[in-house]
Amino acid sequence: MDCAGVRRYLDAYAAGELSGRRRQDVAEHLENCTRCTEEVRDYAEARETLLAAGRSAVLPGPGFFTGLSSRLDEVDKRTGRTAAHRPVRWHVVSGAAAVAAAVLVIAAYLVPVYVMPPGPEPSMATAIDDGQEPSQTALAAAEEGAGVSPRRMPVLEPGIYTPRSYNVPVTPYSTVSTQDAGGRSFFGPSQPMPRFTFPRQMIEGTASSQADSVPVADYEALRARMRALEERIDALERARHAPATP
Amino acid sequence: MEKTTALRRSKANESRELMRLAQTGDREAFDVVARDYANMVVGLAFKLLGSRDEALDCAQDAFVRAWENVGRYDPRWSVATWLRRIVTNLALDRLRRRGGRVELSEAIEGNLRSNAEGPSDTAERRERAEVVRDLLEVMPEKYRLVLILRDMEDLEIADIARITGANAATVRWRLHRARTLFRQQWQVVSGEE
Repeated sequence: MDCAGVRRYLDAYAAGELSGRRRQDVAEHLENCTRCTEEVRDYAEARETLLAAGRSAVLPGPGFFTGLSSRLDEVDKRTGRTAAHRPVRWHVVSGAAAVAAAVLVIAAYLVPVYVMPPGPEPSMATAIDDGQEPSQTALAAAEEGAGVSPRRMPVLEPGIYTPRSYNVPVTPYSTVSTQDAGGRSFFGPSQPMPRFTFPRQMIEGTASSQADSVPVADYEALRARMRALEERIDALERARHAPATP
Repeated sequence: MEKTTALRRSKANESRELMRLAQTGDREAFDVVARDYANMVVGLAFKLLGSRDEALDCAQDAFVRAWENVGRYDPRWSVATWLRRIVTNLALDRLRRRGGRVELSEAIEGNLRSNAEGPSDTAERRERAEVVRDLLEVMPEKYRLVLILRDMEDLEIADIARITGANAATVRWRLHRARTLFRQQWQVVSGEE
């Protein structure tokens, strides 16, 4: 591993967060690189400073618990819980209620649960080298060694727009490997330049009686719509592949 | 180390059992949980907000919120992580209401000064405290948060992911960015670059 490959992990190495092969690769590199070794030392020193700053001297006093108890009493009054609490006696719950509860539990397992995807995140296709955070899917895929760099992605370039379909050439980046974890291909220099074709209805949302072709002057609006479409597609794919949250 | 881990695990299991009782309406069980975790919750609120009074208020709010929603506690989470998530969200709400300004001087300066040995050490520590304060204050919120949770609270990445709602890969990415920013700025300020 060279310096460029290792730098991404130096802070984690300093914090003892690396393991396995990655840790070994970094350690081997550090044996022969004084610059990276100094960087690790800097990260370790910064972390020690923050850890020292984090040792809090603020503790709750008796007043804290008295105040908290009053507030919890107010919650109990508001929600109808009595001050002298007794645990629920489950043996007094009627048989019918127990059966109804069992039916609901079984139904909950039979009905598929759809997890709402998180809110819109920057699309990988428009992520720039610095400043914009890649999507969570991209980062997870990169960590799994799918070979996709979260920082260098094709950027949509202006293309020729024909009736009924919008053809957008993609500029390949040399650092991008050919496929991501989801099997979509990202195009390296040896691959032919592909063209994305979006049905007009997907772009415009509904069947339209407007002119089929897009004037060049409306290019910016079209680009914005295509970016929005790409984000919708990403969100749908994430929803399809996202595990259920605990 | 193994004994500490075993003790922590034992405490975590005990807390889960107390929460299970609290979910049946047992207020005394919840009071025990509040006492067990008050130091942790107050400490985290203090790091995020920088003010002792605000931290105590926020910590109380966190326990009240936890009791109101005790039925929603999922035992697959540790009680500590669940409470940290509540207090973190409440602290961030407070920060956003006051325009995102973080007054960290009280928190940082006090902690760094606690082991001062002499006048020159005190001066050096105060200077370092001011630097840490300034660097954290100007950092974007999402980076500052993970830096505080990992490098000040010493939480595991998985717990930070649960608290912030991001996945582990995103937490690691943000942590890398936060540490890089902090380190670069630290070097500039201390004249090493």
